[in-house]
Amino acid sequence: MATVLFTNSCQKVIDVDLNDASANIVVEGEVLVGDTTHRVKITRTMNFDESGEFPTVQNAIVTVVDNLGNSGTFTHVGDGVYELSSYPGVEGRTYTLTVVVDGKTYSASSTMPAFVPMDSLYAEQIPFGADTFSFVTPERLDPAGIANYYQFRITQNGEVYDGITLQTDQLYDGNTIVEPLFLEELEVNDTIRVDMFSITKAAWTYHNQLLNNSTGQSTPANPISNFSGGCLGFFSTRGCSSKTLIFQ
Amino acid sequence: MKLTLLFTLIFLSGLQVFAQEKATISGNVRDKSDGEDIIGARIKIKNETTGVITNEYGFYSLTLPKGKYTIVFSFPAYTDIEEEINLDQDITRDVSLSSVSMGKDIKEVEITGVRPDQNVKDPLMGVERLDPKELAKLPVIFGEKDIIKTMQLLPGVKSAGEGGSGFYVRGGAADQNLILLDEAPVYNASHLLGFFSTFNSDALKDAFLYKGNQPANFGGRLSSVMDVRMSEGNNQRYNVGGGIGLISSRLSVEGPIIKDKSSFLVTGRRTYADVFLKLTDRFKDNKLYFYDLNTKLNYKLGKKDKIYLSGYFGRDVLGLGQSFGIDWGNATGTARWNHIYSSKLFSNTSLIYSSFDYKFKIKTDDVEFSIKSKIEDVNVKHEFQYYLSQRHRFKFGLNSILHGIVTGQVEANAAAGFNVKKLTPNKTFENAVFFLDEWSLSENFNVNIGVRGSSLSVMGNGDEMYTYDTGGAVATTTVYKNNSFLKTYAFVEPRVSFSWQLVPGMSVKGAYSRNVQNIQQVSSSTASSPTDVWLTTSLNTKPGVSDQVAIGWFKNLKDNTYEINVESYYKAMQNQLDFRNGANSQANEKLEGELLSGIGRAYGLEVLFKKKSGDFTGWVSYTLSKTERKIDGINNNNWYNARQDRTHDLSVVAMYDINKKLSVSALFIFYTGNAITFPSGKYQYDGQTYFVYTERNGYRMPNYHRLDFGLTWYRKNTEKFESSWTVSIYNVYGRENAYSIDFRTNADDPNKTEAVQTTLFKLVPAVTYNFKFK
Repeated sequence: MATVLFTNSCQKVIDVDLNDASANIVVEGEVLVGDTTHRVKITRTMNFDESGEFPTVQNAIVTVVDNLGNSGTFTHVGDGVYELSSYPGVEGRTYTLTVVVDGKTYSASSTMPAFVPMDSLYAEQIPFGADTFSFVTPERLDPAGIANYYQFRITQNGEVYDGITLQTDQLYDGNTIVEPLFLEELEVNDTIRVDMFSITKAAWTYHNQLLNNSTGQSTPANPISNFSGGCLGFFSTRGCSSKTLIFQ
Repeated sequence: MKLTLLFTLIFLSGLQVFAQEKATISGNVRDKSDGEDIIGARIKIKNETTGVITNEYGFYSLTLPKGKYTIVFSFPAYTDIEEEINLDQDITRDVSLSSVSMGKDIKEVEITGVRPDQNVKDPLMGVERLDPKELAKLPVIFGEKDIIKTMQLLPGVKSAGEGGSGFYVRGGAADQNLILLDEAPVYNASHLLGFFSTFNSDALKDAFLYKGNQPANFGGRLSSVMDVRMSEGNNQRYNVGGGIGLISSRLSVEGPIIKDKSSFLVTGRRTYADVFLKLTDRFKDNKLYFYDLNTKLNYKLGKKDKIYLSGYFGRDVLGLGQSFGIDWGNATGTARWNHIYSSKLFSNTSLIYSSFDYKFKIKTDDVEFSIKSKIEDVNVKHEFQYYLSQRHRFKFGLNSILHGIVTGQVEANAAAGFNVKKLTPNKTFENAVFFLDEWSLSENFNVNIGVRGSSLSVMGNGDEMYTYDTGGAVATTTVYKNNSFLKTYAFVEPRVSFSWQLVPGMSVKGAYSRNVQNIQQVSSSTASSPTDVWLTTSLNTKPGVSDQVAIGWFKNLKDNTYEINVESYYKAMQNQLDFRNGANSQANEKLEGELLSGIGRAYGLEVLFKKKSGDFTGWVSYTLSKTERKIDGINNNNWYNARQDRTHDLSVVAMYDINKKLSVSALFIFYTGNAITFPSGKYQYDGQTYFVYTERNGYRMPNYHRLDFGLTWYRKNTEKFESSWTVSIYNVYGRENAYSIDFRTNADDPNKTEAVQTTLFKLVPAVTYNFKFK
């Protein structure tokens, strides 16, 4: 069956007549736990058949305030990226990000979830039929009694992995989680860095919808943004725990 | 009100008030060569037009004023039998009809009596009957005869497309079809993701498809009932037969246990696609196969009693080495008892078990875990059929099903770090009582009128049960005592249909039905798959309800050689389910919080033109239709096309018997594309390109069309042995039909995005050798 499928199926690039979407802006906002640099990136959408890089918005006004009244203003550092430092993110506080672009205001609120640190990181390879599976495991102790959501960024030899990786604790609540992250390949002396983010449920739902859209398996739909005002994108308050290893 | 009428009738017939003037002839009609009961054989007075037909077990009962008659027993493609009877008291007469094709050319024999004009007279509309033997001539992919694929060639029935299991009837979803194998529901009716059906045609006698206006003795699904009946097994002589094909083979053994009284049938089928995989290096440790087994046993205890036992077991297995595997399958078992109370009262009692489960497992050096889901039904059914007269046949009875569903039961060893919770099955108890009358008001006006009262009770199971708020978060968590009754939904489902023959050979029909569905399947993917979750009505989910109205015009031409059927329907649906945006649908104990519900509507026009007899037979079927949904939380709360919405659907089927040894067939299918969601723009997020979508299912896939050829060579046919070769070519002109269209960034230039179409099959030939030892 599979042989017939592989020898018989074929793919080709085709032309599809698509309507143009009305132009919109995309805000990727983040406030992290701790005294670190927070980033907001603002870009514009394009029509499907346009090519070239996505246009950036370089003249937006980006501010953040928490529920205790502490505020900060992001400064544009180039390429549509805005940064804010000396504004420590704290677990439990509710942050509201406000962005003004071309006279329109967009804002989103998010409460900083519990920060879960990564205890250790290790990489393994196992045989799988004629192939080999390679993966890294970001081991951590999951807090019991609360729902925890995790997102990962994997960097291998300086290159960031495409795609979204998410995990929840629905099967592991309160345990040491050893759910692996799969790697395309792994060689001795590879440097692997994993950033593990403790994210909110709304962020998990948003990224899960983006993931569903990109697998082509389910009916795609625009993920639910937490911004009011009608822009795309998401404001994520999250904690980051990173570890790096060199595979031996 | 109806109960009173019921008791009155039974009381009166017991008193034999009518017997003073009338008497009844009853009995069984079967096939002379193998003893199989014939469903729908006609028994009537010679030269008259009314009469009665045999039921699902070949039983008939005809009540007439006392006197002498010539009674004719007939069935299409069988030689009529006439019997002179002196009806002065109740008599029984069992009749064996001989098939016309036994040793003679069909054309040569004059078939007296009525040619099939059932399509004009039968008040039931939207019902199709398929004869598995007739299907044997049609070309199919990989040479596998498939009753479900053939049904998809009829108007109103749409296939899920290549690589998709399931089918859609009149705009309904794939889970809205009740598929019964000897009365047991089959939850997953396809193997290997839709390429093969679970029905081995060697084991089947008859199949009926009701497209939504099913009579009151059926219930439980909104869009259709596919009633498939297995053969009993030849009770005259032993047969061993089968077929050997490129991808799969099948074997069947049948014969009498006690001639004329008892017989058995066992058929099996297995694919061996993975045998070819073993020849490759990359895939040699992979498993990919399915098998199924049908068994049947029947025993006639005496003149009034007959017992039947049937079972089905099938499994699909996919595996990658020792590390990963997924398998799934159905198991059904039915025990039935026919009892003839009197010449007018027939009953059938059935005890049915049906289950479907799938298991997904991963095993590495130290970690081992599996996720299993299972649905199990235990079902008791009892039905009386009371033949009051030629004008009234009543059917009444009850149906009780206990459903138990476990979704996402995780089992793991300690190294996996899971919290494993043993889930108790969710239990629901579904009950129905029904009453219907097949009422012949006059020779030209027939009605099937009935009502079904159904209920579903949600039960406690000693485990946590959740309710949710509108946002999908858990609102309450309660543990209810095992087997306690928590909430009951009750419905009345009226079912009415009529046929009115305006002039001989032409009729108008109409029907209205309400159907309730307590068990629904939710899919997170565009193609239905065996791992989609089955859910019952619960504290959070309400049952699906549909109201369907249909009208039609039916005409037979040239002595019933040609048939033209035009039907139109409108169906309104409630409580249709779909997932929220970004839903967590994997092994989620709190899955119901991820569901949204809304309404649906579907309407269409179906045209069928058919040539039923002669050397050249076939049909043209065309459907024009629309099906939409409206669910708050999806598509900005507006109406949107359901994924299976397909505007035009055309099938042309032609079969030609060149001579007694050779027959050819051709099949042409054309349909406009399904509704699909395509992007309108794009943006960047976290360094990746994603797409902007406007309306849901607002675009169309490209048109689909293909031509298939088939050829059957009947090589040998002697007293002891029969053999034939079937050759089929799927997609003769190799059209690249779109299986999916994906949007992605260009591999060479990440700043460009493109659309890529995947095609599954171009030209696929197949050869099968069929044999039978008699």
